[in-house]
Amino acid sequence: MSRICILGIGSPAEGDRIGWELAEALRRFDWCGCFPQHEITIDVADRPGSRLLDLFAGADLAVVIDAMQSGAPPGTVCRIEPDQLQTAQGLHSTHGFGVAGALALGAALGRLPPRLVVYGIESSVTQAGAASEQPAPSDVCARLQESIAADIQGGG
Amino acid sequence: MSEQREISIHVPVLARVEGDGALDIEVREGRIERLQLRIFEPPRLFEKFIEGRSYAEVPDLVARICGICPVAYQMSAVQALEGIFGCDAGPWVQAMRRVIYCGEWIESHALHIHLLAAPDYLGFKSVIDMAQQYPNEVNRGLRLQALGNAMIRMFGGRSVHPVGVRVGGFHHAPREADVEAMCAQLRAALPEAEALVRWAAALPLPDDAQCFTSVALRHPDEYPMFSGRIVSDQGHDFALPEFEQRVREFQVPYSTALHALLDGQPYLVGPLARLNLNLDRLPAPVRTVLDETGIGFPSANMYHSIVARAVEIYTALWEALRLLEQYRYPHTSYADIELRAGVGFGCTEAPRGILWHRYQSDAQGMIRACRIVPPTNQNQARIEEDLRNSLQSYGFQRSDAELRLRAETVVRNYDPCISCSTHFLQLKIDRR
Repeated sequence: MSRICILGIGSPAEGDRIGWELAEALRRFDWCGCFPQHEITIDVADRPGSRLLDLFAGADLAVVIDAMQSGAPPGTVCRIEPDQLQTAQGLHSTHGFGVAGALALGAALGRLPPRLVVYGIESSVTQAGAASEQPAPSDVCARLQESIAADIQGGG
Repeated sequence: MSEQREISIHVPVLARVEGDGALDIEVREGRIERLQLRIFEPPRLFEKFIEGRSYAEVPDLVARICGICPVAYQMSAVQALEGIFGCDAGPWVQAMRRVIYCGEWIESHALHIHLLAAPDYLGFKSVIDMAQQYPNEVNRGLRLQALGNAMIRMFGGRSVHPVGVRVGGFHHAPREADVEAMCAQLRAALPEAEALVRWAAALPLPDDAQCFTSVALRHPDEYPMFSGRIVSDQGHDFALPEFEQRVREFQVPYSTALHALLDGQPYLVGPLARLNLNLDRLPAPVRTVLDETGIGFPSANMYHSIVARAVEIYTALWEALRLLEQYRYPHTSYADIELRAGVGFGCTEAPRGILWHRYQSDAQGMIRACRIVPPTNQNQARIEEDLRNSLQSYGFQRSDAELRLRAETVVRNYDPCISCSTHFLQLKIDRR
């Protein structure tokens, strides 16, 4: 039995909750019924920084879902392999020590799971109270669910 | 290069500090003409957000001021609010507040030592580079950080709202089985924390003694966290309400962060100041290890801050273990509140130094006025003074890159939580 860990990463900032919202939405899917041969967990985390490495420790496959700002249309789902993430070698701030930095640290320490996929969800992250253009979670969730299912099936 | 060259240092983004800041320095004929540490995070206006809200909402609100030290904000807030309402939360709550604060110190200090500061002294640009050559040390730091976080979460926090603090105590009491498991983790971490103190003390730290005033809390019995009088190594000793007469905050035109002066002078808060003023309050095993490092405390060398943080991690583990080994599940996890109008003051030792709150409440418990003075604000004037002294003694015959790194290293000693300091670093060097 493989251990599969799905993590929604976010913060209280407007637009940065999309990882949490999608993780909650994904819980409604019958993962256990579709993949009885796997142990699948879905969790959310608030700005875990380097603790991300602990959150997916022991998993055979980790799926990390986080807000992204790349200029793509809001709601775009971008599937990213770890070596495609651009990492700043000089950390800007531990408040900003996000997924990319944590994964780079994990790679340097040999602590990444055997399989790891990051999903960036295009979102406008703003300060609380400011207007922003956000993707509708229901529209995004179906595409994300399909892609994660393919990730799980692809692992055998 | 000539000592007489004119230098303008501009660090556009200060790396490895919390939040965003910039540093502008002008040097002419070997002397610093202008030095400005500019903080340009949007003003957080938390003090205004809190006005008009119920006292019960304050812990949740202030926890959002800082993602690294939410517990500290909650501790200073509940102390002030309980003062207004005449609430004595009782010994169980007081003990558990010390435990959760230990957790935050451990998490914050472990993060700073390994992710922010140590790369400077070992010649790396980041912890990611450092991890490839020092994996054991970085993993040890991450373990300690995770342990600190687990101590905080033990008090019932959900994964997206990490603390369970309320006015009067806690929302939840940990189960005895969970506390027993935590004690086992704390005991296992003691040798690691001791090794960390020795490792930090052996780092190639610059020797740069300066003249500054250390300010911290002082408690009759304990290494200070939650309570005490405000003292300094210049003879200051006053109760919390007197803070606003002794400390003046003011706006500088180039920064959104307020500066603060104690009786008109810059001062230092934080781990080095705390340790300088409370060596006799360390647990005996911690004092022994510190003495064995051979580093003399009180220290006037800001680079010893990394050692002070390691010492405080070790101290926090001993303190938490002492309190949790006596743990019993309580009859209630919080004391009841009787509302009344009034003014209250709270001052506790956040990881970065004293964090002072003042609240005014009406008879219905609605907050009418709020003032929050974070430790990083209090250190701003000292940081600028330090930069002047440090760079002047470092010498301007260095390259821009060397000067920039030295400036950033000086600032990082203070572990400035710039996100809090507005209620990193673009460096511009102007050489003429």
